[in-house]
Amino acid sequence: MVLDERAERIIGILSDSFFPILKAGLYFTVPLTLITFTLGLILAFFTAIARISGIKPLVAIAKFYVWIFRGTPLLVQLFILFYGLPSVGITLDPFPAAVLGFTLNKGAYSSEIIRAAILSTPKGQWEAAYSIGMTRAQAMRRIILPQAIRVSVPPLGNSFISLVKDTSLAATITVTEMFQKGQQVAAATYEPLWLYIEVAFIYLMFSTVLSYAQSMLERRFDRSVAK
Amino acid sequence: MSIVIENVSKSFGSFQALKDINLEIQTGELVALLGPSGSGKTSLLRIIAGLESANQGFIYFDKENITTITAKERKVGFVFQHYALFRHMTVFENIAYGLKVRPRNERPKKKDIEAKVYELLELVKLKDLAKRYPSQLSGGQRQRVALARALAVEPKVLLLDEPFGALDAKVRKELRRWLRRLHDEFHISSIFVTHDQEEALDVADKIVVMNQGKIEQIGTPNEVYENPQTPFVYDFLGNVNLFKGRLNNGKLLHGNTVTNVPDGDPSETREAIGYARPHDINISRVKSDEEEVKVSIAHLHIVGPSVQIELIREDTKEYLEAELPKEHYTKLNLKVGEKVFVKPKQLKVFIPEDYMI
Repeated sequence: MVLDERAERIIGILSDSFFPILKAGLYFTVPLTLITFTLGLILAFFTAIARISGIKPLVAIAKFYVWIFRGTPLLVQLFILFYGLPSVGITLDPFPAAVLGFTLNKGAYSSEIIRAAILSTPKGQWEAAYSIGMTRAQAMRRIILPQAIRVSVPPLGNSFISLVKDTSLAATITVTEMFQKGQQVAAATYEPLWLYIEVAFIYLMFSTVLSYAQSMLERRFDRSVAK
Repeated sequence: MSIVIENVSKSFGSFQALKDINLEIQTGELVALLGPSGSGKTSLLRIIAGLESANQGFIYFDKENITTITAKERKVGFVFQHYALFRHMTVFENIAYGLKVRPRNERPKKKDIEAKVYELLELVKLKDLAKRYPSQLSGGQRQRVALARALAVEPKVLLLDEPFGALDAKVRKELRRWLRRLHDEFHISSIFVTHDQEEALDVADKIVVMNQGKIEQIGTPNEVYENPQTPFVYDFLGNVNLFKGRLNNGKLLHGNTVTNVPDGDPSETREAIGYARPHDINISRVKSDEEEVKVSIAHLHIVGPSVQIELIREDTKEYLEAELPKEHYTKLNLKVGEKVFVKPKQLKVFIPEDYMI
Protein backbone atom coordinates (compact mmCIF):
# COMPACT_ATOMS: atom_id res chain seq x y z
CA MET A 1 0.00 0.00 0.00
CA VAL A 2 3.09 2.18 -0.32
CA LEU A 3 1.96 3.09 -3.81
CA ASP A 4 -1.39 4.34 -2.59
CA GLU A 5 0.26 6.54 -0.05
CA ARG A 6 2.56 8.01 -2.65
CA ALA A 7 -0.28 8.57 -5.09
CA GLU A 8 -2.28 10.24 -2.37
CA ARG A 9 0.64 12.53 -1.54
CA ILE A 10 1.12 13.51 -5.20
CA ILE A 11 -2.56 14.18 -5.72
CA GLY A 12 -2.52 16.27 -2.57
CA ILE A 13 0.46 18.33 -3.75
CA LEU A 14 -0.98 18.80 -7.22
CA SER A 15 -4.38 19.93 -6.05
CA ASP A 16 -2.85 22.21 -3.44
CA SER A 17 -0.52 23.78 -5.99
CA PHE A 18 -2.94 23.96 -8.94
CA PHE A 19 -4.62 27.20 -7.97
CA PRO A 20 -1.49 29.01 -6.84
CA ILE A 21 0.15 28.15 -10.16
CA LEU A 22 -2.96 29.08 -12.13
CA LYS A 23 -3.06 32.33 -10.18
CA ALA A 24 0.55 33.05 -11.07
CA GLY A 25 -0.51 32.44 -14.66
CA LEU A 26 -3.44 34.83 -14.45
CA TYR A 27 -1.45 37.48 -12.56
CA PHE A 28 1.80 37.35 -14.50
CA THR A 29 1.83 35.08 -17.57
CA VAL A 30 -1.42 36.38 -19.09
CA PRO A 31 -0.77 40.11 -18.47
CA LEU A 32 2.83 39.74 -19.61
CA THR A 33 1.65 38.02 -22.80
CA LEU A 34 -1.10 40.52 -23.57
CA ILE A 35 0.94 43.62 -22.80
CA THR A 36 4.02 42.54 -24.72
CA PHE A 37 2.00 41.26 -27.65
CA THR A 38 0.14 44.56 -27.97
CA LEU A 39 3.25 46.69 -27.58
CA GLY A 40 5.18 44.32 -29.84
CA LEU A 41 2.53 44.67 -32.55
CA ILE A 42 2.67 48.45 -32.42
CA LEU A 43 6.45 48.36 -32.61
CA ALA A 44 6.30 45.77 -35.40
CA PHE A 45 3.84 47.85 -37.38
CA PHE A 46 6.01 50.96 -37.32
CA THR A 47 9.12 48.92 -38.03
CA ALA A 48 7.44 47.32 -41.07
CA ILE A 49 6.26 50.71 -42.33
CA ALA A 50 9.77 52.09 -41.85
CA ARG A 51 11.23 49.13 -43.76
CA ILE A 52 9.04 49.73 -46.81
CA SER A 53 9.01 53.54 -46.59
CA GLY A 54 11.94 53.85 -48.95
CA ILE A 55 13.38 56.56 -46.69
CA LYS A 56 16.99 55.45 -46.30
CA PRO A 57 17.74 56.28 -42.63
CA LEU A 58 14.40 54.74 -41.55
CA VAL A 59 15.04 51.61 -43.56
CA ALA A 60 18.52 51.33 -42.05
CA ILE A 61 17.28 51.73 -38.47
CA ALA A 62 14.51 49.17 -38.99
CA LYS A 63 16.88 46.69 -40.59
CA PHE A 64 19.44 47.13 -37.82
CA TYR A 65 16.84 46.63 -35.10
CA VAL A 66 15.44 43.47 -36.68
CA TRP A 67 18.94 42.16 -37.29
CA ILE A 68 19.97 42.55 -33.63
CA PHE A 69 16.83 41.19 -31.99
CA ARG A 70 16.28 38.32 -34.37
CA GLY A 71 19.91 37.32 -34.33
CA THR A 72 20.47 37.00 -30.59
CA PRO A 73 18.81 34.64 -28.08
CA LEU A 74 15.84 35.98 -26.16
CA LEU A 75 17.36 34.65 -22.94
CA VAL A 76 20.53 36.65 -23.50
CA GLN A 77 18.50 39.77 -24.28
CA LEU A 78 16.60 39.40 -21.00
CA PHE A 79 19.84 38.91 -19.04
CA ILE A 80 21.41 42.01 -20.58
CA LEU A 81 18.34 44.09 -19.69
CA PHE A 82 17.94 42.79 -16.15
CA TYR A 83 21.41 41.81 -14.96
CA GLY A 84 23.56 43.84 -17.33
CA LEU A 85 22.05 47.31 -17.41
CA PRO A 86 22.36 47.99 -13.63
CA SER A 87 26.13 48.18 -14.13
CA VAL A 88 25.61 51.31 -16.27
CA GLY A 89 23.16 52.73 -13.76
CA ILE A 90 19.88 51.57 -15.33
CA THR A 91 18.02 49.30 -12.96
CA LEU A 92 14.74 47.78 -14.05
CA ASP A 93 12.26 45.83 -11.93
CA PRO A 94 11.73 42.26 -13.09
CA PHE A 95 8.31 42.76 -14.66
CA PRO A 96 9.14 45.92 -16.66
CA ALA A 97 12.40 44.32 -17.74
CA ALA A 98 10.45 41.29 -19.00
CA VAL A 99 7.92 43.51 -20.80
CA LEU A 100 10.71 45.46 -22.48
CA GLY A 101 12.65 42.34 -23.49
CA PHE A 102 9.68 40.46 -24.92
CA THR A 103 8.34 43.55 -26.69
CA LEU A 104 11.62 44.23 -28.46
CA ASN A 105 11.99 40.59 -29.43
CA LYS A 106 8.41 40.10 -30.62
CA GLY A 107 8.43 43.43 -32.39
CA ALA A 108 11.37 42.33 -34.51
CA TYR A 109 9.78 39.02 -35.49
CA SER A 110 6.29 40.37 -36.07
CA SER A 111 7.56 43.26 -38.17
CA GLU A 112 8.72 40.72 -40.73
CA ILE A 113 5.29 39.07 -40.73
CA ILE A 114 3.56 42.42 -41.26
CA ARG A 115 6.06 43.49 -43.90
CA ALA A 116 5.53 40.24 -45.80
CA ALA A 117 1.76 40.64 -45.57
CA ILE A 118 1.92 44.18 -46.96
CA LEU A 119 4.20 43.08 -49.77
CA SER A 120 1.95 40.12 -50.56
CA THR A 121 -0.89 42.43 -51.52
CA PRO A 122 -0.93 42.48 -55.34
CA LYS A 123 0.60 45.54 -57.01
CA GLY A 124 -2.66 46.01 -58.89
CA GLN A 125 -4.39 46.98 -55.65
CA TRP A 126 -2.03 49.95 -55.27
CA GLU A 127 -2.48 50.91 -58.88
CA ALA A 128 -6.24 50.60 -58.71
CA ALA A 129 -6.21 52.86 -55.66
CA TYR A 130 -4.06 55.48 -57.40
CA SER A 131 -6.18 55.31 -60.54
CA ILE A 132 -9.32 56.32 -58.64
CA GLY A 133 -7.48 59.23 -57.08
CA MET A 134 -6.13 57.99 -53.75
CA THR A 135 -2.91 59.27 -52.25
CA ARG A 136 -0.21 56.83 -51.14
CA ALA A 137 -1.26 57.20 -47.51
CA GLN A 138 -4.93 56.67 -48.35
CA ALA A 139 -4.14 53.60 -50.41
CA MET A 140 -2.04 52.18 -47.57
CA ARG A 141 -4.63 52.80 -44.89
CA ARG A 142 -7.80 51.91 -46.74
CA ILE A 143 -6.79 49.35 -49.35
CA ILE A 144 -3.50 47.69 -48.47
CA LEU A 145 -3.56 47.42 -44.67
CA PRO A 146 -7.07 45.96 -44.37
CA GLN A 147 -6.00 43.20 -46.73
CA ALA A 148 -2.59 42.77 -45.13
CA ILE A 149 -4.15 42.36 -41.69
CA ARG A 150 -6.20 39.42 -42.96
CA VAL A 151 -3.12 37.81 -44.41
CA SER A 152 -1.10 38.30 -41.24
CA VAL A 153 -3.67 36.94 -38.76
CA PRO A 154 -2.60 33.27 -39.01
CA PRO A 155 1.16 33.85 -38.62
CA LEU A 156 0.64 36.49 -35.93
CA GLY A 157 -1.67 34.10 -34.07
CA ASN A 158 1.08 31.56 -34.26
CA SER A 159 3.60 33.95 -32.81
CA PHE A 160 1.11 34.95 -30.10
CA ILE A 161 0.79 31.37 -28.93
CA SER A 162 4.52 30.91 -28.95
CA LEU A 163 4.78 34.07 -26.85
CA VAL A 164 2.55 32.53 -24.16
CA LYS A 165 5.12 29.79 -23.75
CA ASP A 166 8.15 32.03 -24.18
CA THR A 167 7.06 34.05 -21.14
CA SER A 168 8.31 31.15 -19.01
CA LEU A 169 11.78 32.59 -19.66
CA ALA A 170 10.78 35.51 -17.42
CA ALA A 171 11.33 33.10 -14.54
CA THR A 172 15.06 33.51 -15.13
CA ILE A 173 14.86 37.18 -14.27
CA THR A 174 12.84 36.48 -11.11
CA VAL A 175 9.34 37.22 -12.36
CA THR A 176 7.08 34.89 -10.38
CA GLU A 177 5.05 33.77 -13.36
CA MET A 178 3.68 30.24 -13.71
CA PHE A 179 6.89 28.42 -14.36
CA GLN A 180 8.69 30.17 -11.50
CA LYS A 181 5.81 29.23 -9.19
CA GLY A 182 6.00 25.62 -10.36
CA GLN A 183 9.73 25.58 -9.73
CA GLN A 184 9.21 26.80 -6.18
CA VAL A 185 6.66 24.10 -5.39
CA ALA A 186 8.78 21.44 -7.09
CA ALA A 187 11.78 22.41 -5.03
CA ALA A 188 9.83 22.34 -1.79
CA THR A 189 8.08 19.01 -2.41
CA TYR A 190 10.70 17.02 -4.36
CA GLU A 191 8.10 16.08 -7.00
CA PRO A 192 9.53 17.71 -10.11
CA LEU A 193 8.02 15.24 -12.59
CA TRP A 194 4.43 15.73 -11.54
CA LEU A 195 4.74 19.40 -10.81
CA TYR A 196 6.21 20.23 -14.21
CA ILE A 197 3.58 18.08 -15.91
CA GLU A 198 1.01 20.13 -14.06
CA VAL A 199 2.65 23.37 -15.20
CA ALA A 200 2.76 22.07 -18.76
CA PHE A 201 -0.93 21.18 -18.52
CA ILE A 202 -1.84 24.73 -17.45
CA TYR A 203 0.19 26.19 -20.33
CA LEU A 204 -1.67 23.81 -22.62
CA MET A 205 -4.99 25.08 -21.28
CA PHE A 206 -3.99 28.67 -22.02
CA SER A 207 -2.73 27.98 -25.50
CA THR A 208 -5.78 25.84 -26.37
CA VAL A 209 -8.12 28.68 -25.47
CA LEU A 210 -5.96 31.10 -27.46
CA SER A 211 -5.77 28.82 -30.52
CA TYR A 212 -9.53 28.64 -30.50
CA ALA A 213 -9.76 32.42 -30.29
CA GLN A 214 -7.31 32.68 -33.16
CA SER A 215 -9.31 30.38 -35.43
CA MET A 216 -12.48 32.36 -34.66
CA LEU A 217 -10.66 35.54 -35.65
CA GLU A 218 -9.37 33.99 -38.85
CA ARG A 219 -12.81 32.84 -39.84
CA ARG A 220 -14.19 36.29 -39.25
CA PHE A 221 -11.54 37.91 -41.41
CA ASP A 222 -11.62 35.28 -44.11
CA ARG A 223 -15.26 35.61 -44.97
CA SER A 224 -15.07 38.32 -47.55
CA VAL A 225 -11.61 37.90 -49.02
CA ALA A 226 -11.16 36.23 -52.37
CA LYS A 227 -8.20 33.93 -52.63
CA MET B 1 -10.25 64.82 -74.21
CA SER B 2 -7.68 64.57 -76.95
CA ILE B 3 -4.45 62.72 -76.26
CA VAL B 4 -1.11 63.27 -77.97
CA ILE B 5 1.82 60.93 -77.50
CA GLU B 6 5.09 62.35 -78.73
CA ASN B 7 8.35 60.42 -79.20
CA VAL B 8 7.70 58.14 -76.24
CA SER B 9 10.31 55.47 -75.51
CA LYS B 10 10.50 53.07 -72.60
CA SER B 11 12.91 50.34 -71.61
CA PHE B 12 12.90 47.82 -68.80
CA GLY B 13 16.55 47.06 -68.15
CA SER B 14 18.04 46.11 -71.49
CA PHE B 15 14.63 45.34 -73.03
CA GLN B 16 13.23 48.19 -75.05
CA ALA B 17 9.46 48.02 -74.68
CA LEU B 18 8.61 51.13 -76.71
CA LYS B 19 10.62 52.80 -79.45
CA ASP B 20 9.78 56.36 -80.33
CA ILE B 21 5.99 56.16 -80.31
CA ASN B 22 3.92 58.95 -81.86
CA LEU B 23 0.15 58.82 -81.68
CA GLU B 24 -2.80 61.19 -81.66
CA ILE B 25 -6.21 60.37 -80.31
CA GLN B 26 -9.18 62.66 -80.84
CA THR B 27 -11.88 63.41 -78.29
CA GLY B 28 -14.60 60.77 -78.34
CA GLU B 29 -12.60 58.14 -80.17
CA LEU B 30 -12.54 54.48 -79.16
CA VAL B 31 -9.05 53.26 -79.96
CA ALA B 32 -7.68 49.72 -79.86
CA LEU B 33 -4.01 49.05 -79.23
CA LEU B 34 -3.59 45.73 -81.00
CA GLY B 35 -0.56 43.49 -80.99
CA PRO B 36 0.94 40.22 -79.78
CA SER B 37 2.25 39.90 -76.23
CA GLY B 38 5.49 41.78 -75.76
CA SER B 39 4.59 44.32 -78.43
CA GLY B 40 4.51 47.17 -75.91
CA LYS B 41 0.79 47.87 -76.04
CA THR B 42 0.23 47.48 -72.30
CA SER B 43 3.33 49.55 -71.49
CA LEU B 44 1.98 52.34 -73.68
CA LEU B 45 -1.41 52.21 -71.95
CA ARG B 46 0.21 52.29 -68.52
CA ILE B 47 2.36 55.26 -69.53
CA ILE B 48 -0.75 57.13 -70.66
CA ALA B 49 -2.34 56.31 -67.28
CA GLY B 50 0.73 57.45 -65.35
CA LEU B 51 1.26 54.03 -63.79
CA GLU B 52 4.58 53.82 -65.60
CA SER B 53 6.84 56.65 -66.66
CA ALA B 54 8.39 57.05 -70.08
CA ASN B 55 12.17 57.26 -70.43
CA GLN B 56 11.71 59.96 -73.01
CA GLY B 57 8.97 61.75 -74.86
CA PHE B 58 5.87 63.65 -73.83
CA ILE B 59 2.18 63.07 -73.27
CA TYR B 60 -0.43 65.77 -73.69
CA PHE B 61 -4.06 65.75 -72.58
CA ASP B 62 -5.91 68.51 -74.44
CA LYS B 63 -2.57 70.13 -75.32
CA GLU B 64 -1.51 70.23 -71.68
CA ASN B 65 1.77 68.48 -71.00
CA ILE B 66 1.04 65.89 -68.31
CA THR B 67 4.17 63.77 -68.73
CA THR B 68 5.35 64.21 -65.14
CA ILE B 69 1.94 64.27 -63.46
CA THR B 70 1.06 61.31 -61.24
CA ALA B 71 -1.63 58.73 -61.97
CA LYS B 72 -3.76 60.14 -59.17
CA GLU B 73 -3.81 63.61 -60.74
CA ARG B 74 -4.38 62.53 -64.34
CA LYS B 75 -7.98 61.62 -63.55
CA VAL B 76 -8.17 58.77 -65.99
CA GLY B 77 -10.35 55.71 -65.47
CA PHE B 78 -8.34 52.51 -65.62
CA VAL B 79 -9.75 49.02 -65.95
CA PHE B 80 -7.18 46.38 -65.08
CA GLN B 81 -6.71 43.11 -66.86
CA HIS B 82 -7.47 41.11 -63.75
CA TYR B 83 -9.91 43.75 -62.52
CA ALA B 84 -7.96 44.51 -59.30
CA LEU B 85 -11.18 44.97 -57.36
CA PHE B 86 -10.74 45.79 -53.69
CA ARG B 87 -11.25 42.33 -52.25
CA HIS B 88 -12.23 43.46 -48.78
CA MET B 89 -15.04 45.70 -49.97
CA THR B 90 -18.49 45.08 -51.35
CA VAL B 91 -19.42 45.95 -54.91
CA PHE B 92 -21.07 49.12 -53.65
CA GLU B 93 -18.01 50.22 -51.69
CA ASN B 94 -15.69 49.43 -54.57
CA ILE B 95 -17.59 51.80 -56.82
CA ALA B 96 -18.18 54.46 -54.16
CA TYR B 97 -14.59 54.61 -52.96
CA GLY B 98 -13.16 56.90 -55.58
CA LEU B 99 -15.69 59.53 -54.54
CA LYS B 100 -15.41 58.89 -50.80
CA VAL B 101 -11.68 59.53 -50.64
CA ARG B 102 -11.81 62.92 -52.30
CA PRO B 103 -10.70 65.93 -50.27
CA ARG B 104 -13.55 67.28 -48.16
CA ASN B 105 -14.26 70.32 -50.33
CA GLU B 106 -14.60 68.24 -53.52
CA ARG B 107 -16.40 65.29 -51.99
CA PRO B 108 -20.06 64.83 -52.92
CA LYS B 109 -22.59 64.43 -50.10
CA LYS B 110 -23.13 60.92 -48.85
CA LYS B 111 -26.58 60.84 -50.40
CA ASP B 112 -25.24 61.97 -53.76
CA ILE B 113 -22.53 59.34 -53.69
CA GLU B 114 -25.14 56.69 -53.03
CA ALA B 115 -27.33 57.94 -55.86
CA LYS B 116 -24.36 57.98 -58.21
CA VAL B 117 -23.32 54.45 -57.29
CA TYR B 118 -26.82 53.12 -57.86
CA GLU B 119 -26.99 54.89 -61.19
CA LEU B 120 -23.76 53.15 -62.21
CA LEU B 121 -24.94 49.81 -60.85
CA GLU B 122 -28.05 50.19 -62.95
CA LEU B 123 -25.89 50.93 -65.96
CA VAL B 124 -23.75 47.83 -65.49
CA LYS B 125 -26.81 45.77 -64.56
CA LEU B 126 -25.56 44.76 -61.14
CA LYS B 127 -28.07 46.49 -58.89
CA ASP B 128 -29.00 43.29 -57.07
CA LEU B 129 -25.39 42.46 -56.31
CA ALA B 130 -24.42 45.70 -54.55
CA LYS B 131 -23.78 43.98 -51.23
CA ARG B 132 -21.75 41.09 -52.61
CA TYR B 133 -17.98 40.79 -52.33
CA PRO B 134 -15.85 40.45 -55.48
CA SER B 135 -15.09 36.81 -54.64
CA GLN B 136 -18.79 36.03 -54.96
CA LEU B 137 -19.06 37.30 -58.55
CA SER B 138 -18.46 35.72 -61.95
CA GLY B 139 -15.71 37.00 -64.25
CA GLY B 140 -18.10 39.05 -66.37
CA GLN B 141 -19.71 40.59 -63.29
CA ARG B 142 -16.32 41.52 -61.85
CA GLN B 143 -15.39 43.13 -65.12
CA ARG B 144 -18.52 45.28 -65.00
CA VAL B 145 -17.79 46.31 -61.41
CA ALA B 146 -14.27 47.31 -62.47
CA LEU B 147 -15.75 49.41 -65.26
CA ALA B 148 -18.29 51.06 -62.95
CA ARG B 149 -15.51 51.82 -60.45
CA ALA B 150 -13.45 53.48 -63.17
CA LEU B 151 -16.44 55.50 -64.41
CA ALA B 152 -17.48 56.65 -60.93
CA VAL B 153 -14.78 59.32 -60.81
CA GLU B 154 -16.09 60.73 -64.12
CA PRO B 155 -12.88 60.41 -66.10
CA LYS B 156 -12.36 62.15 -69.41
CA VAL B 157 -10.23 59.26 -70.56
CA LEU B 158 -11.00 55.58 -70.04
CA LEU B 159 -8.15 53.11 -70.35
CA LEU B 160 -8.75 49.38 -70.45
CA ASP B 161 -6.04 46.72 -70.29
CA GLU B 162 -7.16 43.52 -72.05
CA PRO B 163 -10.63 44.16 -70.63
CA PHE B 164 -12.20 40.98 -71.92
CA GLY B 165 -9.18 38.71 -71.96
CA ALA B 166 -10.25 36.41 -69.15
CA LEU B 167 -13.85 35.92 -70.25
CA ASP B 168 -15.42 33.24 -72.40
CA ALA B 169 -16.16 33.97 -76.04
CA LYS B 170 -19.87 34.70 -75.76
CA VAL B 171 -19.63 37.02 -72.74
CA ARG B 172 -16.70 38.73 -74.40
CA LYS B 173 -18.67 39.61 -77.49
CA GLU B 174 -21.62 40.84 -75.47
CA LEU B 175 -19.47 42.99 -73.21
CA ARG B 176 -17.49 44.63 -75.99
CA ARG B 177 -20.63 45.72 -77.81
CA TRP B 178 -21.90 47.04 -74.54
CA LEU B 179 -18.62 48.89 -73.96
CA ARG B 180 -19.08 50.51 -77.37
CA ARG B 181 -22.53 51.82 -76.41
CA LEU B 182 -21.25 52.96 -73.03
CA HIS B 183 -18.37 54.81 -74.64
CA ASP B 184 -20.75 56.64 -76.97
CA GLU B 185 -23.05 57.56 -74.11
CA PHE B 186 -20.33 59.01 -71.88
CA HIS B 187 -18.58 61.16 -74.53
CA ILE B 188 -15.13 60.13 -73.43
CA SER B 189 -11.97 59.05 -75.16
CA SER B 190 -11.26 55.37 -74.61
CA ILE B 191 -8.22 53.27 -75.33
CA PHE B 192 -8.23 49.53 -74.91
CA VAL B 193 -5.46 47.01 -75.25
CA THR B 194 -6.14 43.69 -76.91
CA HIS B 195 -4.38 40.88 -78.72
CA ASP B 196 -7.64 39.77 -80.28
CA GLN B 197 -7.92 41.20 -83.79
CA GLU B 198 -11.60 40.31 -84.03
CA GLU B 199 -12.32 42.37 -80.93
CA ALA B 200 -10.41 45.36 -82.26
CA LEU B 201 -12.05 45.16 -85.68
CA ASP B 202 -15.48 44.81 -84.11
CA VAL B 203 -15.68 47.86 -81.86
CA ALA B 204 -12.82 50.31 -82.39
CA ASP B 205 -12.97 53.57 -84.35
CA LYS B 206 -9.26 53.39 -84.84
CA ILE B 207 -6.79 50.54 -84.55
CA VAL B 208 -3.14 50.99 -83.64
CA VAL B 209 -1.27 47.83 -84.61
CA MET B 210 1.89 47.37 -82.56
CA ASN B 211 4.81 45.00 -82.87
CA GLN B 212 8.14 44.89 -81.01
CA GLY B 213 7.69 48.26 -79.39
CA LYS B 214 6.78 50.07 -82.59
CA ILE B 215 3.58 51.15 -84.29
CA GLU B 216 3.14 49.20 -87.52
CA GLN B 217 0.02 50.92 -88.73
CA ILE B 218 -2.73 53.26 -87.57
CA GLY B 219 -6.09 53.26 -89.29
CA THR B 220 -9.78 52.47 -89.20
CA PRO B 221 -10.64 48.77 -88.92
CA ASN B 222 -11.40 48.76 -92.60
CA GLU B 223 -8.11 50.40 -93.57
CA VAL B 224 -5.92 48.09 -91.54
CA TYR B 225 -7.79 45.00 -92.66
CA GLU B 226 -8.15 45.82 -96.33
CA ASN B 227 -4.95 47.73 -96.83
CA PRO B 228 -2.21 46.50 -94.48
CA GLN B 229 0.98 48.53 -94.76
CA THR B 230 3.35 45.83 -93.54
CA PRO B 231 3.59 42.04 -93.73
CA PHE B 232 3.16 41.95 -89.96
CA VAL B 233 -0.19 43.72 -90.11
CA TYR B 234 -1.28 41.42 -92.93
CA ASP B 235 -0.41 38.39 -90.89
CA PHE B 236 -1.77 39.62 -87.58
CA LEU B 237 -5.18 40.73 -88.81
CA GLY B 238 -6.43 37.44 -90.14
CA ASN B 239 -5.36 34.42 -92.13
CA VAL B 240 -3.10 34.99 -95.06
CA ASN B 241 -1.52 33.04 -97.93
CA LEU B 242 2.09 33.60 -98.84
CA PHE B 243 3.38 33.43 -102.39
CA LYS B 244 7.15 33.38 -102.09
CA GLY B 245 9.08 34.19 -105.22
CA ARG B 246 11.12 36.68 -107.18
CA LEU B 247 9.98 40.09 -108.28
CA ASN B 248 11.09 41.72 -111.53
CA ASN B 249 9.57 44.50 -113.64
CA GLY B 250 6.13 44.29 -112.07
CA LYS B 251 5.92 40.52 -112.25
CA LEU B 252 6.17 38.05 -109.39
CA LEU B 253 7.49 34.63 -110.32
CA HIS B 254 6.39 32.03 -107.78
CA GLY B 255 6.60 28.30 -108.48
CA ASN B 256 5.78 27.91 -112.19
CA THR B 257 3.50 30.89 -112.22
CA VAL B 258 3.96 34.56 -113.03
CA THR B 259 1.59 37.08 -111.49
CA ASN B 260 1.39 40.70 -112.56
CA VAL B 261 1.92 43.02 -109.63
CA PRO B 262 1.10 46.59 -110.51
CA ASP B 263 2.25 48.25 -107.27
CA GLY B 264 5.76 46.89 -106.85
CA ASP B 265 8.32 47.11 -109.65
CA PRO B 266 12.01 47.30 -108.77
CA SER B 267 14.11 47.17 -111.91
CA GLU B 268 16.43 44.46 -110.63
CA THR B 269 15.27 41.04 -109.52
CA ARG B 270 14.46 40.77 -105.81
CA GLU B 271 13.23 38.12 -103.41
CA ALA B 272 9.63 38.99 -102.60
CA ILE B 273 6.52 37.61 -100.93
CA GLY B 274 2.97 38.12 -102.14
CA TYR B 275 0.18 38.20 -99.57
CA ALA B 276 -3.47 37.34 -100.19
CA ARG B 277 -6.33 36.63 -97.77
CA PRO B 278 -8.18 33.30 -98.12
CA HIS B 279 -11.40 35.03 -99.24
CA ASP B 280 -9.42 36.78 -101.98
CA ILE B 281 -8.54 33.47 -103.62
CA ASN B 282 -10.56 32.55 -106.73
CA ILE B 283 -11.14 28.89 -107.54
CA SER B 284 -12.07 27.55 -111.00
CA ARG B 285 -12.29 24.09 -112.49
CA VAL B 286 -10.65 24.96 -115.81
CA LYS B 287 -7.54 26.96 -116.47
CA SER B 288 -8.51 30.17 -118.23
CA ASP B 289 -5.64 32.44 -117.29
CA GLU B 290 -1.81 32.29 -117.26
CA GLU B 291 -1.76 33.55 -113.66
CA GLU B 292 -3.67 30.60 -112.25
CA VAL B 293 -1.92 28.05 -110.04
CA LYS B 294 -2.73 24.36 -110.26
CA VAL B 295 -3.58 22.90 -106.87
CA SER B 296 -5.13 19.79 -105.37
CA ILE B 297 -7.75 19.92 -102.62
CA ALA B 298 -6.37 18.56 -99.37
CA HIS B 299 -9.19 19.24 -96.95
CA LEU B 300 -12.64 20.84 -96.71
CA HIS B 301 -14.13 22.50 -93.60
CA ILE B 302 -17.80 22.96 -94.34
CA VAL B 303 -19.17 24.19 -91.00
CA GLY B 304 -20.74 27.66 -90.95
CA PRO B 305 -21.75 30.12 -93.65
CA SER B 306 -18.48 29.85 -95.54
CA VAL B 307 -16.29 26.92 -96.50
CA GLN B 308 -12.55 26.77 -95.76
CA ILE B 309 -10.53 24.83 -98.28
CA GLU B 310 -6.98 23.62 -97.76
CA LEU B 311 -5.05 23.36 -100.98
CA ILE B 312 -1.62 22.06 -102.00
CA ARG B 313 0.24 23.65 -104.90
CA GLU B 314 1.22 21.14 -107.52
CA ASP B 315 4.50 22.94 -108.28
CA THR B 316 5.95 23.86 -104.89
CA LYS B 317 3.87 21.56 -102.63
CA GLU B 318 3.13 24.58 -100.39
CA TYR B 319 -0.19 24.92 -98.62
CA LEU B 320 -2.76 27.56 -99.52
CA GLU B 321 -6.06 28.35 -97.90
CA ALA B 322 -9.17 29.57 -99.65
CA GLU B 323 -12.53 30.64 -98.29
CA LEU B 324 -15.74 30.49 -100.33
CA PRO B 325 -19.35 31.37 -99.60
CA LYS B 326 -21.32 28.15 -99.21
CA GLU B 327 -23.47 28.65 -102.33
CA HIS B 328 -20.41 29.17 -104.46
CA TYR B 329 -18.88 26.01 -103.04
CA THR B 330 -22.01 24.01 -103.74
CA LYS B 331 -22.05 25.27 -107.32
CA LEU B 332 -18.43 24.21 -107.88
CA ASN B 333 -19.13 20.83 -106.29
CA LEU B 334 -15.57 20.41 -104.99
CA LYS B 335 -14.25 17.11 -103.59
CA VAL B 336 -11.09 16.23 -101.68
CA GLY B 337 -8.29 15.10 -104.03
CA GLU B 338 -9.55 17.01 -107.08
CA LYS B 339 -7.26 19.27 -109.09
CA VAL B 340 -8.44 22.86 -109.52
CA PHE B 341 -6.97 26.27 -110.43
CA VAL B 342 -6.62 29.23 -108.10
CA LYS B 343 -5.69 32.84 -108.51
CA PRO B 344 -5.40 35.62 -105.92
CA LYS B 345 -7.90 38.40 -106.70
CA GLN B 346 -5.40 40.82 -105.26
CA LEU B 347 -1.84 40.26 -104.25
CA LYS B 348 0.11 42.65 -102.05
CA VAL B 349 3.85 42.22 -102.47
CA PHE B 350 6.46 43.01 -99.83
CA ILE B 351 10.19 42.76 -100.25
CA PRO B 352 11.66 40.97 -97.22
CA GLU B 353 14.58 43.43 -96.72
CA ASP B 354 12.01 46.09 -95.96
CA TYR B 355 11.04 44.61 -92.68
CA MET B 356 13.72 42.13 -91.69
CA ILE B 357 16.26 43.40 -89.18
